[in-house]
Amino acid sequence: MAVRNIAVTDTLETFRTEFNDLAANDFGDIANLSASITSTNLVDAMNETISIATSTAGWTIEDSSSTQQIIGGGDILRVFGTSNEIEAVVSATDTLTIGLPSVVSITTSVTAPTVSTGNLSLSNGSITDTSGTISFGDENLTSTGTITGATITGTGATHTLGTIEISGNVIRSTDSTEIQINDGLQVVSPLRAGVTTINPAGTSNITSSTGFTVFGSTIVLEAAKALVFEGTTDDDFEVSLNGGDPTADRTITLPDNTGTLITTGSTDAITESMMGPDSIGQNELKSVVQLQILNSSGTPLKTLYGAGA
Amino acid sequence: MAVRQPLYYNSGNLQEMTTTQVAEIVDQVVYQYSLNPSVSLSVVGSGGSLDAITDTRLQAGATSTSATAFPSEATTAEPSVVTVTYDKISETRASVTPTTDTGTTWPVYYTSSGQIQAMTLADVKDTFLHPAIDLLAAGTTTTQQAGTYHINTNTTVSGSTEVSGSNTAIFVDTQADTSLYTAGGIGETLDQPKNVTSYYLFKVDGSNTSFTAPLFVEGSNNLQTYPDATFKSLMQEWIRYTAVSSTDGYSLSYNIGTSGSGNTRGSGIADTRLNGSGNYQTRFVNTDDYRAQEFPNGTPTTINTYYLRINKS
Repeated sequence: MAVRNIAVTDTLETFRTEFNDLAANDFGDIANLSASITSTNLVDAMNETISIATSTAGWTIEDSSSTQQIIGGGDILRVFGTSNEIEAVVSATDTLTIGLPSVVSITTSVTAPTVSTGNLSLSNGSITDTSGTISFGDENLTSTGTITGATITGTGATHTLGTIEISGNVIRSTDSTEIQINDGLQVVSPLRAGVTTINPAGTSNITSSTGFTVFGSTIVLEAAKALVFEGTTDDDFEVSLNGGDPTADRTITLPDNTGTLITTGSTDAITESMMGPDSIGQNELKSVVQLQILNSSGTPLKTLYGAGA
Repeated sequence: MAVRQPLYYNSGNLQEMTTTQVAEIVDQVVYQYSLNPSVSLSVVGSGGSLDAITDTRLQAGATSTSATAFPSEATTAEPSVVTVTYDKISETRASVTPTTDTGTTWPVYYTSSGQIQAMTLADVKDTFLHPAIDLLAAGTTTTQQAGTYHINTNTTVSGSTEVSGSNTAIFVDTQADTSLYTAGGIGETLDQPKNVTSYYLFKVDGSNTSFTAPLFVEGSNNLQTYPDATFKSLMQEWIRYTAVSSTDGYSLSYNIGTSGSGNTRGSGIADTRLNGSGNYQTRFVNTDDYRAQEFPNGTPTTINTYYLRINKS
């Protein structure tokens, strides 16, 4: 018996022969139907037969999809598990035990309020282990959410948080040449940037391995702050340089030469070579006196000014 | 009268000269004058420009003779006076054109108002030139009279130079040499003089004394110490000019005579002569020749004393 099919292009003869064969060979001769069957067509006869069978010595089983199977008298109901998923054990008397194997494989998912294995428990939003430690072996952990932990310790060589990579004691950005810290940054040990080191403690807060620190922009000391020089000897005495109390922008330009600055407190500090030509007028002289050189007629030829006694 | 104290450079300071330092400059001015006096005297043969002076002496009277007896003293000629004129000193006055004052020509001084001013020519005269003329015109003959003249009876005088260069006397005082007149020689030459004293003209030698050069106003109106040669030259010009051309009483001149203006210089030139009225002497030559003559006699007496004088006027 096979599926019979009449194509649109088949001939009527084909249709006739197939139909006859269908009736004769596939459906059978109704004359041969059991006399206990009263139905006159094939479908009704089949249904009448099942009804008779189940009502006498069998039963019907149905699964969650409403699929039913008639178990007739003499039939054997075989129950099988699925490897690593479930197992069925038949025991006396008339006992069928359904259980899970020691090793369970679940193809899709397991849903349970709590799943425990060994010391490990998985429950809603929580994985715990009574040993206090959960190891993921050498597996990669991926989360699109947030990982929160009281203590997160990485034992590998390189760790990446977003585009921030931590490798040993090196932190870098994998997609930028600059790491931005949006909050204050406090270090307890020296912070080294290239040749420059910022020391949180000690007497030299900023040092450079080059021997000098270059500031690429203007240095501004806020009010009442001074630039202090320890001087030759690190002792209790320093030289402070402060800005006074300017009432307008002032500019003090250091001279283009080597020497020692002098102040109003300096004494005997100005030498002849420091004085520019034509730089001192009579008004700068103390107790100025005037000396004229006159010709024989008394006409001044030259007037000299000097400090008086 | 404005005698100034010029300023000089003293170890980095300007300092007023002391009167001693000013006097040293005056001495140097005198020395500069001595190097080239503008009023100079020379010894000439005759016709000198200074006045003539005369030497007088006695000579014997003419011899009287007689064939019978000696002429009496009364009739015998008396000794007479011989006069010799000396006019051997000539004065030459140079023509000098000195440097004109530009206003800064002269040394500077410190004024009473505390300024430094160049001296005027009047200041220079009062401070240097006139004091130098005063020294030059003094009666002494030290180095402070260098370049001026004096008379001496010796042919050499320390510190002076005989002017003629050949010991030519400008005056010789003579007297009759009485020893030459003898009775046996009556008919004696009337004038038999002897030189008593010769007088020579000398010029005082200069002495280049040290001095401190003062300051002056140089071309850029700075003060500068005079270069030595510059200051000496300037001073020489002006002392020479002053000595010969001063119009304010400081030109020098010489005169000679028994009297005159100015200070005498050196020895007085004495014209001495015997003062006797005649030494009557006779000589018997033979019975037809009786002679008499009066010889000069007496003691030497100064008839006149002449002086060389230097005068400023």
